[in-house]
Amino acid sequence: MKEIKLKVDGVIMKVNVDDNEILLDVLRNKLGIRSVKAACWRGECGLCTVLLNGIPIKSCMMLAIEAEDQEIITAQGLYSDERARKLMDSFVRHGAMQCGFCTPAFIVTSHYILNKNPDADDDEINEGLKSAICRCGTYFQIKEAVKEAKKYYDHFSQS
Amino acid sequence: MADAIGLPVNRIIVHAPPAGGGFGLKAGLGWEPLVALLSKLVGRKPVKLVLSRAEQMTSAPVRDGFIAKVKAGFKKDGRFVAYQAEFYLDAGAYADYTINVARTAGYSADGAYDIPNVHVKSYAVYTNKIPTTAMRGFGHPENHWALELTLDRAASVLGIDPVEIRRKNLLKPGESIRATGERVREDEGDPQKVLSVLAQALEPDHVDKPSEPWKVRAKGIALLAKAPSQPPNAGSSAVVKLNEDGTIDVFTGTGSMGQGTPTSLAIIVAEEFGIPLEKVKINQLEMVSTDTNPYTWQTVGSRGLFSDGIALLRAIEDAKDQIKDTASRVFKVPIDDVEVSGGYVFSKSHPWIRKEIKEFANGYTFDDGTCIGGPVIGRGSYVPVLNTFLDDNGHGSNTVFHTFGATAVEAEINLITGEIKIIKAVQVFDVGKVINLMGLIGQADGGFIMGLGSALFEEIKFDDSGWVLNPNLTHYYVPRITDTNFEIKEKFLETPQKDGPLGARGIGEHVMIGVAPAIANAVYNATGVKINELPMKAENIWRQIISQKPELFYKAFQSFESTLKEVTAK
Amino acid sequence: MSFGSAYFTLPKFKYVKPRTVDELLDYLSKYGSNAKIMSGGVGLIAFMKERLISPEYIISLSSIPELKKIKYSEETFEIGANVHLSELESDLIHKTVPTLYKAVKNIADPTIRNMGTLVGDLAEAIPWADAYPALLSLDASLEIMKKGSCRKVPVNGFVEGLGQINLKEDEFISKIILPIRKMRGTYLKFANSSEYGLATVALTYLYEEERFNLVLGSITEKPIVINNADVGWDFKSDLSKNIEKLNAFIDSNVNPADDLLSSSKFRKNIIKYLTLQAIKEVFSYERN
Repeated sequence: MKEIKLKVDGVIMKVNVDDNEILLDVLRNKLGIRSVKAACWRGECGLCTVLLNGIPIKSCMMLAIEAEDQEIITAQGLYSDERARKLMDSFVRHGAMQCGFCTPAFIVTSHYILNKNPDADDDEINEGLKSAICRCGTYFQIKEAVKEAKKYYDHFSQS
Repeated sequence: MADAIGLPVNRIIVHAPPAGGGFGLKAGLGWEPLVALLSKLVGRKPVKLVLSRAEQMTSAPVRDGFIAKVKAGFKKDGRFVAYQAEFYLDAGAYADYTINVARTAGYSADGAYDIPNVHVKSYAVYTNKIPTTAMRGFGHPENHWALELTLDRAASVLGIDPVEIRRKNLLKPGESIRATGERVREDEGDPQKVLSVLAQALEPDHVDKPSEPWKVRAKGIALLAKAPSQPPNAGSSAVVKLNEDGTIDVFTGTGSMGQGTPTSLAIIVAEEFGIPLEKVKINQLEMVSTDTNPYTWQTVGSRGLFSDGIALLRAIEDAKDQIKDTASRVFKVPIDDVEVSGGYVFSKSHPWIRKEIKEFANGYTFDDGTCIGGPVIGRGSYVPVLNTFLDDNGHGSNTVFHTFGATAVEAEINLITGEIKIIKAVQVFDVGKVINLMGLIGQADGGFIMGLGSALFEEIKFDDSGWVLNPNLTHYYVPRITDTNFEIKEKFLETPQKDGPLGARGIGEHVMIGVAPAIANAVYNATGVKINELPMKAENIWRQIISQKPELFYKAFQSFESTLKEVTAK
Repeated sequence: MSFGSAYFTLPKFKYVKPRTVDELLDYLSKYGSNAKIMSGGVGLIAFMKERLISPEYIISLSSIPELKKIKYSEETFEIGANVHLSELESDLIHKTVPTLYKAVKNIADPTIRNMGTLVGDLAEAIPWADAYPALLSLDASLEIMKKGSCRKVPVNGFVEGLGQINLKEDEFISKIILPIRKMRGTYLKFANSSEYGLATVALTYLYEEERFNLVLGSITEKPIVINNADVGWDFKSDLSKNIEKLNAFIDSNVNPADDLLSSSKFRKNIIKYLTLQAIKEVFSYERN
């Protein structure tokens, strides 16, 4: 067991982790961040996606101990970002959320794509979002929601 | 659960929070009693069961495997006069839900058509493979695969257009009799209009040129009809509770899993009372609980909006009756002069005599403190009318509504690799009444994508002893956003269902039934190659091309090679 | 081999995080036979979750800055062991070693590429990986270090079979070295009904040297390397004649495997299609 410090959703947290503990489990079970989901535990479904130092990664394929002194942002943390909130709004308005299980992962990844390039074209958006699966099939609505949210990433300065 | 663990029903509380999808797979009881017993074993401590993806795909139920042998008879003019079918469903290790799926596939084998002579045998077969269960469509994606392919092939043999052959044979509401002997209701929908809207939306005379000469494009269609598959006594109930601030609480039994039924039910309440949607809370968006929510048979079968909706409307009526009773005494007018709508309770003859609904929520309190009427709690209940079991010949009256629908695609086939690419898709459904348009579009699009998965990619692979070889999402391929680079159109018709809530019917499953046959028909129209097996993955299509029309492949490869001649090496 | 894991957890191990290459080499010499190196960690964690491997020690590269470097000079491109795949999706790499750029673009998905490394993909040594065929076609070499020594080996021969690499227990790959030459290159992958490709083609054409390396991947246990000499390619004659020779060569010498992803026959059809597509792409020449 080692006590590590990491910043999660803007808050510095201390948590005890075993060497072989997985970041996903620590986030969900020890830190109570339930918006990070799991459906395959093998890096295929993408629902465990979080931002590590601003870059999307699949938390089920990373050791918790490797996140020591790093910064993690989940969909819950993005709520404090004005542009991400507009993105979430856009998802709701376009019906890009049915059962909602995949929504945190798509929000986190879309935010990353638009933050990096507010002018991202359809191909860039599709390519970036292919890492997560939506079984309800809301892809058409997700594409429209992300497209509509582009303008909010233009107007505000990049984070 | 009560049966399995030996407790009375009212000593078992089931809480169902909003689920991450369901699609029917969560309909049957499997692992749940085990968890309760384990808790008992460890001194009643909480026990949580989580299945890994591999465990899910090797020991939790999936959709049945299905084989159909069919023989169809047509007159020269295209009339579909006889259909003989044998269905074999792989039930896996347990004779569980698949028995119902087999029965349903059997009695619905005639789809949307009026076929005077139908003979179907439908078998659920024990095998030593993964158990199977209900899954979106419940036997209809299966039996429509056989039926809709048959129609296109018959059309080809007879020299009739695929749209025309369907037009000639569609069930006539109010007239036709189904294979089960059930008369098609007058208000069942308008299948002819579904077909013509589909045909128009697909622009049959306009097919864009394929992107390269070794590819071909064509359109394919499929029609469908489905009723909820449920026992004749599948009931629903609802409770409506008014709060003193004008908000309303709604309780029905249907669970929330992203299908949008709770939202539609809330919309009905908001409509009927004339209050903003924000003032209606339907508690399944937080948690359905057997302790607080009244009974519904199951959240399956595209029955939620219809059945719970009818019960809900009765509950609303009941609540309104209570309000009207109290209001008539407050307004000093006869009960039948009182109306509740638009957010108000008012006298029809003297409409300026009115009060907000909230003033009656807990009974009406006069200025001197006296109170009449009491808290308003509306209750409604619904059970199918005069539904029966099917007899030994499969005859009976076992449906509450049918929704007609159709799917069409324009597909491009790469004759060298066998890959199928969707260019355009159209979904048409006669929903009776559009209550939540965004929800309907979500179902139509999402259902298409799910249908696309089973049409083109999804396959559970077994070895010779029944082991699942691909229990993971790498080799069991589920559609991703990069598989949706095509245009999709959704059209909803509103031929009212007289007993439906606001005239509505269900479509939760219908949206995926027509996808695979429409694509197979497109392949057939483009190449003449008959595809009988799913998935239509590249290798399978390629094999069929090589086996049935090898010259198509060789010509395609030649035209590909000739494009290399345009290239000059430095 | 992805068959699906029934485990949510990883086996127990001790995690060490050296800060310098020397520290790393120390650990390797001490624990090498019971240790695995964690670069991106994606392949490692996948195998551990299925209990295919169960090392006592995991040695992480994430705190060694030297291994995160990409060094570009006129002669070579050096890619450190801990460079994430997404960092290789740059315009510079696209221009100088297009084969690698396109291969990287075909690996998994963008999120995995933020985690995984090229060295990691190579060391996984599964037939459907993309790094090895691309590196073969680029005449890449590897710098392999152990305590007290450092050697360079051509990448050809590094992968000996499924999960078998030519690397001793106390050694690790510190960087991948790509020679820079004037080239056109491409990487094509055919995947259908699976995330894995059932056939891949890497083609690097060194137009000033009149030489090319064509590598056929994912169809056999080890990639098949075909160069122009093998085929009898004559740069002076008609392209169509050369293609005939290439087709004949593939017909007689390439026997793809039958497996979960595809049958041998279909693979052969696809590999021919991909090969010709690659030729078309790479040999199209637009005069400036």
